[in-house]
Amino acid sequence: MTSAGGVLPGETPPRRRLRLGWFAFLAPLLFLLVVFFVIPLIDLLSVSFAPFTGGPRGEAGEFTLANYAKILGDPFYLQMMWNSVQLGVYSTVFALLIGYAVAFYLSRTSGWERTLISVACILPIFVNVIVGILGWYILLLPFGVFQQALTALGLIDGPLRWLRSFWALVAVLTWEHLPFAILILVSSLQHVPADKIAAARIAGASNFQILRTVLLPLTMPGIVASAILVFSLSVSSYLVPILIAGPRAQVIPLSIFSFASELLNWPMASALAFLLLIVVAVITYAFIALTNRLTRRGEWEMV
Amino acid sequence: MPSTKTAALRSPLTGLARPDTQARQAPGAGAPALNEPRSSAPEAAARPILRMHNVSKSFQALPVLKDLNLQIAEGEFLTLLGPSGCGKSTSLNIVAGLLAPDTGTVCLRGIIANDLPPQRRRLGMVFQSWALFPHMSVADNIAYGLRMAGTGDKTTLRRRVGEMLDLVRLPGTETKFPSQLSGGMQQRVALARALVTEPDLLLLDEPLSNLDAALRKEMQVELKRIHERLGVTTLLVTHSQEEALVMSDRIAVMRGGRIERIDTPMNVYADPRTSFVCTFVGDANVLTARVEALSAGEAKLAIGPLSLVAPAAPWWREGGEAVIALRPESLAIAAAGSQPGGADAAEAGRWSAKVTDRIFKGSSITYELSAGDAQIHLLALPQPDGRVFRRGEAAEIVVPKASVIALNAPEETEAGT
Ligand SMILES: Nc1ncnc2c1ncn2[C@@H]1O[C@H](COP(=O)(O)OP(=O)(O)OP(=O)(O)O)[C@@H](O)[C@H]1O
Ligand SMILES: [Mg+2]
Repeated sequence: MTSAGGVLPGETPPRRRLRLGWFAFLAPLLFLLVVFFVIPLIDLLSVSFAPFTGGPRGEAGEFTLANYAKILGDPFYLQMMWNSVQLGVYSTVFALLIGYAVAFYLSRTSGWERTLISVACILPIFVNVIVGILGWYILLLPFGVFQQALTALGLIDGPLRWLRSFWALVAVLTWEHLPFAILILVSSLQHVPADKIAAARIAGASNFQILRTVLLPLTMPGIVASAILVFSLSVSSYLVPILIAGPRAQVIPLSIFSFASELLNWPMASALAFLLLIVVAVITYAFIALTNRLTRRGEWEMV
Repeated sequence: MPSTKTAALRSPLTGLARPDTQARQAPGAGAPALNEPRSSAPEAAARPILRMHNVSKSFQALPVLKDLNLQIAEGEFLTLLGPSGCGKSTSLNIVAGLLAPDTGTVCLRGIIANDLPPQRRRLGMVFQSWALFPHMSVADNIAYGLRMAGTGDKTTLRRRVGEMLDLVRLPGTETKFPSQLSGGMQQRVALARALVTEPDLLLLDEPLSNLDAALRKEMQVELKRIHERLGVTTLLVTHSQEEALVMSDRIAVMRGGRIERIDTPMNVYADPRTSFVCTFVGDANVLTARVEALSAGEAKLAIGPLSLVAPAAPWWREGGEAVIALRPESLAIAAAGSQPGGADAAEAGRWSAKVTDRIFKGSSITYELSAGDAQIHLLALPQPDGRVFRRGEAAEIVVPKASVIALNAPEETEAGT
């Protein structure tokens, strides 16, 4: 059995024509991709193997693994990488948990309630990121209104140093990327036919069983997509760490920036950037492979 | 206490038929004879599996169900038949617990089930779209209900899935995914999934409407066979009169959120009582006549220039109106000027008419005729002498007395409006 693509064995689809047509459509996009993504990436890669000699681009033409050796041999950078990955993982987990709950609720409501919640969810996208982060900054300030109010209510024993903490970063990263997760998850939840849920319910499934056996598997593509998006955006976020935790925050994007623009050490910056890229790619791939295996994707099609 | 009863009913998953069903049938006798109605009225009153009492439901002030009353006896196959939008699916969803009625009660096995969630109603349901889980194999789809209930170990589940697949005649498809099956096969899997938990009541919401005509016929027979084999009480929703007539023990004809007529298929067909039921179940010429004279149980009717002498209905009054129906297959066509064949007492009338159209259907011919002010169609079997009438030809419509169906008994008229 081939993975039935909808074309019967006897039919020969007009593939060649189609491909040319598609190429015409894709050409501008491919051009942009090559010029602004592939070429810089190759450049990045080549610079990352150049020795640092004081000039920003290093010694052209020479090949060295010293930059990578320095990063991988130094617990400081490894810790930094670990910090970044943890930030990404936690904010992804929280964005997915909150996002799925909100999206589930949204997919089941209608009318003004739905409009209100949708707008509230998507608003952060329209607010300038810096403005939004500053809002959080004020919330988290040790002597800010928020902490004072909570202290007055006896809920916390303030003032507390929330601002530079790991969890403050996780919270702001989650907040910043939550709308994307919600948007993707709502659309994916809405595509689960209501009668499949009804069928599960009549067959005796509890709400939790329906979630586990029907909703999660059928919305897995949306979950994977939003997870990849939130994870890669969180790991590579520069503004959130620098504004919430300050320039000393031990995360890779800040380090890349300081190597590139303060120390003018492009080879080190490139090597760090490339390692981050690899880590993100590996984790993403592992995640996709795991979910594919769990839901046996590729074996079945929606009916 | 519904929960203890439910627990007691969740008997070990032996054999295909439920123990109580087997007990009702004579051992070894197999399915009860077709002509032996499972659903005599006293039984329906004694052991209703489902009872809906004055159920109403509105969607945004739009009334969809109006004081619906319905009872299904154990083992009965009841069909809700009605046109699109008359509230059939809504009724079914209320029975399933997917919708809550605005007013009225739903009783399952004599227990008020209004607040019982769907998963505790012991139902099986097949949806119009079949609603199979695309990410599960056929076996996992079928075993779903048992898994969710936590009943049975792996070998029991496998055995039950095998039994169900044998029942729906799809053995060996355990590892396939729904997308690899044809529509008819998916339909069978959906049926197996609904039946595996041995439900008290099987709900079918237009399960055959996504199939092509030939498959639909096949599945009608198949559903009927499975119903007879398991004796599972079944509530079918359809807008196809053929499905309803072929499969049901009783038919409930719905219109505008009410049940207009409920009886066995034969009774509904023979005595539809309202013109809506008459034209919805089967085909009919519905005519409005004037009662000219009443005498000795016979009435002389006039439909414009056409006259008719037919058995009088009790509610007909001299000078009043009478609505009658003539089934196309009960009328006959004869050559113009031909004489009644002796037994004219059985003839209610003989109208000269003109053939306006002729539709040849192989085993029969439908003639459209105009007689007086009326357009009448009738179904003629091929004549032994090979005589067919041509368009424009003059002919006579022979109306036997037994073919005159009196409609719109007063109380039905009120219910219909
Ligand atoms: N969730 C809903 N919200 C608003 N109106 C609804 C809803 N569900 C059904 N209706 C309306 O109620 C009426 C009856 O619907 P229902 O689905 O019960 O019809 P049906 O008899 O099953 O028709 P069909 O044969 O087309 O399936 C329709 O007019 C429909 O528009
Ligand atoms: Mg319907």
